[in-house]
Amino acid sequence: MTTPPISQKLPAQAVRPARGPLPWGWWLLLAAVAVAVLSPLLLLLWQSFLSNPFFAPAKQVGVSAYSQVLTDPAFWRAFGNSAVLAGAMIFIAVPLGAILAFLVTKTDLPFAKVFEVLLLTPIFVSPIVLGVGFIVSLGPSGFVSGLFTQLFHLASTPWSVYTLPAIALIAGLTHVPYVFLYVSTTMKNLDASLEEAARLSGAGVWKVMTSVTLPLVRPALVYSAMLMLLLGFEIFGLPLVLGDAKGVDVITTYLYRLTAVTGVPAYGPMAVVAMILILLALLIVFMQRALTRNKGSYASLGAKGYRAQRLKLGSWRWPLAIITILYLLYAVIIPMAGVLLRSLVRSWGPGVDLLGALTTANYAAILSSPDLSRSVVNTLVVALVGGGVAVAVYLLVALGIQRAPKGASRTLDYLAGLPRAVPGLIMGLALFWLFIFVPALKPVRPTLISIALAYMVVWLPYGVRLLTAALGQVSKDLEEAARIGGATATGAFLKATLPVLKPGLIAAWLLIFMQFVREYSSAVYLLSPGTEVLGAQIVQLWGTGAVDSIAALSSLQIVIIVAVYSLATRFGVRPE
Amino acid sequence: MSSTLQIENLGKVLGGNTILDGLNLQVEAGEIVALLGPSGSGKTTLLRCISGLETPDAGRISIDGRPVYDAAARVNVPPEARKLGLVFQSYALWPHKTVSQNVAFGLEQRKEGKGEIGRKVAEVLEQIGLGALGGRYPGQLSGGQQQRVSLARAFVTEPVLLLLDEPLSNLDAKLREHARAWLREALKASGKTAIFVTHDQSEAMAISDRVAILRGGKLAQYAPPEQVYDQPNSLFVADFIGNPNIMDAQAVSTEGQGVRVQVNGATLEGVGVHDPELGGKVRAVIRQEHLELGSPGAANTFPARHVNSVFLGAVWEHWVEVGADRLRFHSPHKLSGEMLTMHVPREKLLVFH
Amino acid sequence: MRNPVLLARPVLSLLTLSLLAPVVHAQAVPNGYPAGYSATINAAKKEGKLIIYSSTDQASAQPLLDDFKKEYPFANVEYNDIGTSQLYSRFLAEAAAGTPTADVLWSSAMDLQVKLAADGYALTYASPESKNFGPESVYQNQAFGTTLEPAALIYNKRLVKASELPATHAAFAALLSGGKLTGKLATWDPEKSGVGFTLMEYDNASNKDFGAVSSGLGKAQAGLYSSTGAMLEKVTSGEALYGYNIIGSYALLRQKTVPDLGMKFWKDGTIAFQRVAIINKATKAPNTAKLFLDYLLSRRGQLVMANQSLIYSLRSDVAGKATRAVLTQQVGGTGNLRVIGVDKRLLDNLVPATRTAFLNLWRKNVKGQ
Repeated sequence: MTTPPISQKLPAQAVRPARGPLPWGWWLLLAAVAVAVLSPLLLLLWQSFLSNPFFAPAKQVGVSAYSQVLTDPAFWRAFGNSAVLAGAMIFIAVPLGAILAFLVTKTDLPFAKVFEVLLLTPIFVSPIVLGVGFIVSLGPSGFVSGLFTQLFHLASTPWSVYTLPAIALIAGLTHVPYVFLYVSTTMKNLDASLEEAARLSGAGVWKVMTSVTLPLVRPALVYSAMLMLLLGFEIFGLPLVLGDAKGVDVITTYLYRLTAVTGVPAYGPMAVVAMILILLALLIVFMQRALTRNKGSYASLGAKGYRAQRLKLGSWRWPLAIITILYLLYAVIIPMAGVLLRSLVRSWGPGVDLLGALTTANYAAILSSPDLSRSVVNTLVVALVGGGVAVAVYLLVALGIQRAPKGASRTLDYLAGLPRAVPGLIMGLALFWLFIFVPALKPVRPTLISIALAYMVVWLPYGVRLLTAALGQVSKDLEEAARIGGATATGAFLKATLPVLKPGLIAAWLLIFMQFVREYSSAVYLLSPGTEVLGAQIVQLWGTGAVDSIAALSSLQIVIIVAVYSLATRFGVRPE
Repeated sequence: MSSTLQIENLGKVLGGNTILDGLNLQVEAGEIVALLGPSGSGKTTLLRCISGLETPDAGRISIDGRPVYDAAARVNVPPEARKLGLVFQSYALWPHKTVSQNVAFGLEQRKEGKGEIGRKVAEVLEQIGLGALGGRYPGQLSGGQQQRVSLARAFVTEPVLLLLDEPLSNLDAKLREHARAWLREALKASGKTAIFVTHDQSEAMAISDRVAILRGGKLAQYAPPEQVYDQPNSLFVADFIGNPNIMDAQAVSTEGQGVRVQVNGATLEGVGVHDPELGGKVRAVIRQEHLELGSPGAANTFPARHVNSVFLGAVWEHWVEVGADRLRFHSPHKLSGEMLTMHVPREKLLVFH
Repeated sequence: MRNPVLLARPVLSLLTLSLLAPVVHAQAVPNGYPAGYSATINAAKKEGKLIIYSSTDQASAQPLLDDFKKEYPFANVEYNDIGTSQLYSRFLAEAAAGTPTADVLWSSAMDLQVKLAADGYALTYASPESKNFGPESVYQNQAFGTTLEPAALIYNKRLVKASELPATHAAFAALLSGGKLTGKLATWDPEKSGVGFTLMEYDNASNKDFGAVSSGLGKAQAGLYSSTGAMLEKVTSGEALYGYNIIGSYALLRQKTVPDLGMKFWKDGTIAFQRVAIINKATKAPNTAKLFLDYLLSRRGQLVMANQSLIYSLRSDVAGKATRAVLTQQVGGTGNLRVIGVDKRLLDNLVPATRTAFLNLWRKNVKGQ
């Protein structure tokens, strides 16, 4: 071997490992997330062992709250009902959402664009309002029910919207949009030639969907199912509106029962319920990790550009379109019509001349309310700005889960899965406590920032999963090529991956925006004059029975969201 | 402006599997080396370790004698500082940048002047024949054009070492044949040291100066293509290159450089790579193109039973049975008759354990 | 009931006085107040914001706030419309944390308010207005009843003829057991609502037919709700024909927009609760707080309550739509008005054993458990 010439081009010996950027950065992120997520939860844990509020001077430590809850048959009934709802949401929303996502994004289904917006509408609407919509349309006094009973000369409808199966069905149907969003975003970035190949091998459209497309979007399906499971236990608005009539309690409405025994808000038992749900959430994250372990390479966004060929449905085209319309009719159009109707009438039900009862007074009332414009502005600020910041934070966390050292990654994954498990009412209380007892946070409390922070923490699981899906689509090659080209690890991410991620980021921001507009229970304790937001106002109005105002307010909410959504899609949210 | 590469005792374990096992490799300046081997042999891992995108567990990698990775001395230069070029199998062109922007990226990272960058990019695009396409996006190019852009991007920063990961595997067959020649020309013209990974032997042999055959994380043979082809140092290598005939035989005796074996009753002379155990079983390897019809009674012939013939267009492919083995050979004519006499030149009969 | 003297006055002069009261823009001490009150007013001028936590919805409270501002233009009021349970939680936590919190708490949750007073959070204040109220409306000069809101029977006028309405609880119980009303009733769930508990428990204590009514509700599979709004909506739409023990002030408000909503009081005993106001002992604006409390209790304030906010006012010397006088007449005399007092009994009902006793009774009657 000849002595090789010394090259001047190589730098002096560097000890930085070639793996990722600043590994201590990941640990810092982990610490920040841990503090944000665990503070309210640890506070609740502490509270669950106390007989009095944790800030009371006199209190006893013990497990009385645990025994109270765990031996309460009402709790187990509620838990069972919640489990049924969660099950319904998984088994209805996931298949429907996946199939609809496939039909709308991958095939030549007619009116696909219109269907897409309609499909998503339930997410634009507050759950309480959705419940009202179903009551006004399909309830015992509903207009659809009335038409039906008249048509078939029945005394009453064969269905009831107040039973557990009915609520479960409605819960399932109204959560289809979540699954649809997750799955369709992933599907849109799959190379169409994969399905074409299957088609050419003789597979029909159904076979293509089940053996090619769905397996390729498996992570999205798993995430959606786990989210449904989580939301099933957290669901509040629908059971609040629909559950009382026949005494169907779920975990979140069971919380109201906890005050019955003492008459005073019982923080201990409430915290116990929260702890039980946290355990459940940990289990869910565990399952989710197990189910997505064999990730393989789902990355498909890379140098080959996008292909937008749509599968031909052939003779199934119109039948499927009609089925989709029927689905939309029952799950979206009818309840939305219910909401709209309620916002436009003084009174409703059998014996009411609907045309005579038409009025714009409800809209006049809310539009003339001085709080409204402030509330709308606040909501927009929190949702747009807070939402944007949230997306950035969620992206960091998703990156952490993807790239940090194993221990940090796993912990982040579990942490990120926790916040949504705790019912909004309890979480809102815990966050409120933090904001008033932690000196550093005190000045923030009366501002919109506290609300935005609360929302950010609570929707962490949702946002992180969205961004994980988006990240997983971008080929690692792009970033590696940038590193070879001379960019640092962080630089490579910013210059090579981030631009390609942009559509996914905007889509995520849009979804988070919608959630923030609808959210209510988490910030209920943080509101003050000047920081009212629409979602919380709706809950307050519900308390006084101003259902017509709620309906009008919700219509307003929908208009805002649809406007932002249309604007965003115009500016290239969906790569086509 | 090309460098040497020294790999010493490189080790890498992934998920419990030993991917690289004490690998040693030396590449001379301006040399083109192909890393060839079956899947799991560690060739891609080796390439990525050289690039810095993966970190080995043991050993040393040095460029021009300067270590970029040294396990013992805790040296690990990050990829962006190694000044290499890497052509990805997927090309990894950034879809949101134009061709020119893609190529310019590395120069921008090196903070070269705008005018200088523009000039170099235009020049290199001219060189690869894509001068007019600078403003297009990767999605608007054909596969072949994308591959060339990828190469241009790797070239333009004048790296000390060029790495290529299956550079031609995404091209269709016809294009691939043209690209083979073109790539070697381009590499030789630039004078750069290049290492490329491929699973295609013809590609490996056509483009490289030396072929490194990897097996189980170790180097099986490292030699110029003709040598690997004609003088494989093991049954594995002999079998890996091409699709040769392999027969069971019995070693009879050694004759200087050669060895005598018995095949189906006939005694043949061949070249043995190892000292055979006399009387023991050995494997005799004959490449299809070296097996031909012979005259009964001539030297180095053996009987075989004709079982099948297939018309391939240019030639007939004939199958014969020798004992328990089936052999193939080509001839321009159809054959008749059941018993044939096969001949193999002495130096083309390779004998291994 | 005290002050029969006032009832003896000619109605005309009563009306005149009532009409005149708002005309007096008092920067000076209000009528009938001690001269020293001017010190309170002057001290209030130097104070900052008055923070109110209240369960009265903004829309109903606005006339009161506007009028208070007219009477004391310098007063700067921040009004927070919060639910009863949140109000309690929020105040308690903020008081413990030392962060800015309410100066005045005004809530329909009578028991929670009295508890706050009993636990030492309320300012002891001998209001000059106290003499206008009976002892059942003041607790230790710390918690003050401000309204007298009846628990009514609401019904859907389209589906229920006036002649069908039951006059007494016993008649109602019979109607319930008749089988025609199955699934068409709405009432409180005392297990989920504190206000609902208070109303039902007092109903049980003051009404001999409560047992029959509650059993009837059970037989008729009444829907049990935790918010007035839900119950009002059920009756409005006709899903429920009757709503039992619905808060009259809410119903009255709803009747403005829903003429089909009917409301009836019981001739054999209508219970009524009081919205209670307390002043935070640790208030940073004690004088403004006193001004506001006195305003709520004053004739002027109660007039606004009765005529604009449509919350039933407590004072007997106030005339208007939603007043004690009108209510007394509608229930057929003071003997039929069962007022839930702002007193210790509320505290007794917070003892778990006592509470559970009633809930067990309720569950047995209504749910058969």
